[in-house]
Amino acid sequence: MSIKVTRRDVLVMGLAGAAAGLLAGCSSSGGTPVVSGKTTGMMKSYAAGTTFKAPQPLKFTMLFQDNPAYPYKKTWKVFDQIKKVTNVELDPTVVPFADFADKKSVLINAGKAPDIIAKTYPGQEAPFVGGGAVLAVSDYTKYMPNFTQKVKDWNLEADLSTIKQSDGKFYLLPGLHQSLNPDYTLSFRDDVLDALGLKQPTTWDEVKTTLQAIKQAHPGQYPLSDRYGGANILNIAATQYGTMAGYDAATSSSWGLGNGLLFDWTKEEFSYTPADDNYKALIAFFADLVKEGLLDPETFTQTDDQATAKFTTGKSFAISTNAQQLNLDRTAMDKNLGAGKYKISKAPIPGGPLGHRLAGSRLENGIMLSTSVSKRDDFEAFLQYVDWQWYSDEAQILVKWGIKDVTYTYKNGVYDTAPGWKLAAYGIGDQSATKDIRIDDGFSCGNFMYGGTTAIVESTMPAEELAWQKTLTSYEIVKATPTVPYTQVQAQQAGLLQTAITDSTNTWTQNFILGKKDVNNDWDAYISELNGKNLKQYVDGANQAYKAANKKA
Amino acid sequence: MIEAPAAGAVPTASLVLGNTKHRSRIRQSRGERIFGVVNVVILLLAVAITLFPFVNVVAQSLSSEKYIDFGLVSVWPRGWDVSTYGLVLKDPTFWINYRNTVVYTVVSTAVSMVLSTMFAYAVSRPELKGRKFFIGMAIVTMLYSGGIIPTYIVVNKLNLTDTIWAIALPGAISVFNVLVMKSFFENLPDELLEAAQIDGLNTYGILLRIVLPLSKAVMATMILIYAVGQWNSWFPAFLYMDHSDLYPVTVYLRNLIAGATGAQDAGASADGNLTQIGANIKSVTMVLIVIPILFVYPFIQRYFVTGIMLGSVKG
Repeated sequence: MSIKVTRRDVLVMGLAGAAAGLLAGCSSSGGTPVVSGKTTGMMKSYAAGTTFKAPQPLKFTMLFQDNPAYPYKKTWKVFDQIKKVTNVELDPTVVPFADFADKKSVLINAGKAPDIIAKTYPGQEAPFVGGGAVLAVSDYTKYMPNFTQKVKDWNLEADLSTIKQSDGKFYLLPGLHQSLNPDYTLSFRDDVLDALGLKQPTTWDEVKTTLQAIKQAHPGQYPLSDRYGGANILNIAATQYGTMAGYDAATSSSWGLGNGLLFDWTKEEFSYTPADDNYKALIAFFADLVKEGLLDPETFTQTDDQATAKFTTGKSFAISTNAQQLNLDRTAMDKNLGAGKYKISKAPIPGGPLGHRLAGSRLENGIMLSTSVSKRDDFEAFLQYVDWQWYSDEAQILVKWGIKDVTYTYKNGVYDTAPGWKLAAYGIGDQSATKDIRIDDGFSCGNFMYGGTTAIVESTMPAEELAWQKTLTSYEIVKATPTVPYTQVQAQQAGLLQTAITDSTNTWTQNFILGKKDVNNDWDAYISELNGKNLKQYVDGANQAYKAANKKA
Repeated sequence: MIEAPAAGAVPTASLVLGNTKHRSRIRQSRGERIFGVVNVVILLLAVAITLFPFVNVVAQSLSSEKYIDFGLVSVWPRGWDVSTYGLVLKDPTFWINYRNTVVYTVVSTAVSMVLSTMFAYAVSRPELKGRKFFIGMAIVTMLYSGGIIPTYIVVNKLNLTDTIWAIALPGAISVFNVLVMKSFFENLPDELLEAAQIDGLNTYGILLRIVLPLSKAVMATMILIYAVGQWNSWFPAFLYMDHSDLYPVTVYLRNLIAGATGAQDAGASADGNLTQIGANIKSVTMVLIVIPILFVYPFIQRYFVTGIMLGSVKG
């Protein structure tokens, strides 16, 4: 039996050993690990399009996120159905939605991570790479025919390169989308626009004139009072200005700003975009909105609930939204303003100086695999199962819609819930039906459902949302910026610099927009503050890391 | 029996500061009266500040969502609506988790009390050899903790995860509480214990028949502190329990609140995980969770006031 053990493996074992009182491991140089000899329960002829069915019962553990909108139930059919089709029993470790990331981190660092670690967004895997508890899945994708085929057919190589770590490998199996389906935009009180004889704006300049017209008709009110700490409007506008922006201070969540490093694909290098002219133009635009009383200054400090309440009680007229939020707002407005007394919808994503552009990656959140599985005898079967479960169309339809002719029907290319069933979250099916395929049986929930073909992704979209998605087909798609492939030590150094630098950017951005600082007069002071925080070292570090990793790969 | 003031009438604070009640018989000076007025005003303000958020939550729980959205609910409920109570009470998960909270609280308070009492009594006896060492060791754990991950590994390797013991054992002894109990035990008159010894009681007999009956005051206080702490705690359960039917109701509530405000996931995907749970449901759940402890509190508090009086009288 030949089992190669990489240095990373030794590290993991060392960690696990310290915990367990065991110590095992021998060292050999890198290279692709060999899987041979771990064929228990595997299918001999497994390929893309084949249904995975283990010849003997297998059992895998899975970290499962419990969402308050569809609380986990032991009785859910989704697990039974998976077992029936694949002969695999999934044993979920159920973790509440709140603090999911904390528990995930403890389990992984304690060496107790379940085999499959669900709901990990690209970038969230980075802290675990050095510890070795998470499998370098890129070494094994050749055993995953569905994954490989989708990457090839949908040209996802470039997208995948955005999640490469310093060793040139990736540690996350992300959800793969055939097409980009953005969701976030603005929504206006369409009835108010109608009354003023206005159309939904299609560019940011039109957004401004529209807000001016609303302000004229409703003086004393802020037409736009946004939620998400103002991060969404900055994020979607930044793409049109050729920069990155958007940080929600209230929830400390970064929307579009990230590490602030924008990649120039022609020069193949990173630059800190919040220091450039595009960013300056973007900030100047929003500073103007606040100055003219069009954008509520509280946008940057209020909670989402407060902003939503303003919009749904008629105190403001425009807000950031997404398809689900739109429905929630409608429910609230039916109650607050009365059904039929208002009209809202998703407006097109406004274009800007660079035209109409869409940014974003076709990678969605996905799963990590625990390194401990790679030492088990059923490792190859495990890889086959993971490939089938998360990357085959068949499995994606199963976890989304359930059992054909029991929970759903499929006729003429259209999916619908079966009689007696509904999918209330998307407004599908007869809403008076007693059973919900998501709440009662666990289908269409976030732990299994990532990406897929355009047809599968759109199968749960209501007609209104489909029509909105059509408006995006003419947009230019901006190539995604890669993650900086830092080594662990570099990542720590860069992390320190980044925190200081982006903090400073966030403070100045808010001061510029709120008019406490002047975009034209105080810009140089802002740049010199950034330089004082070692901006050059930060940017150079990112570029060196990129060059080093790409030489290796 | 020596006459003691009516238990209910004595404010708790005076017990800590020493009994100052008899001073009221002497005429107060002007300065004292001004001090009294200022004191009362400041304390009333503090009461208002602490009480307002709670009253607001209660009012929200009894109001209809519409008034909450418009920001019209402050102290009084608007648009009386108790249907949400029905909704939450019908959720089986809520009841399972509620039962867990009760069980966890009772069991871990019992465990904590037994262990803390034994520890505190032992280190309160001057004849114990290495007494300072044991106290020192306990104090070290106050200053330095093992950290989350090592603690998790220990609990896991002891096979305690997914059992009530993961909640009851790791935090069973609060060193601060032990120190308070220790100094209480130290203040019991030695003569009493010596007399008991002469009468033929062994160590456990002295503890059970003499010391504990005299320590009802401190025991009641400790039970209250441990029980309230356990009732409100969520982190150990969140960390060590892997199944939602083992969670206490605090984790249920936390999930509910975070689900309503969890924008962290937003922006990255449209997989339908954004949820909004009405302010109304949140406040109803909060009220339902707080009620038992709210009712238990005044009773235990009254009891321990009496207990302290008993102790001081006998002393």
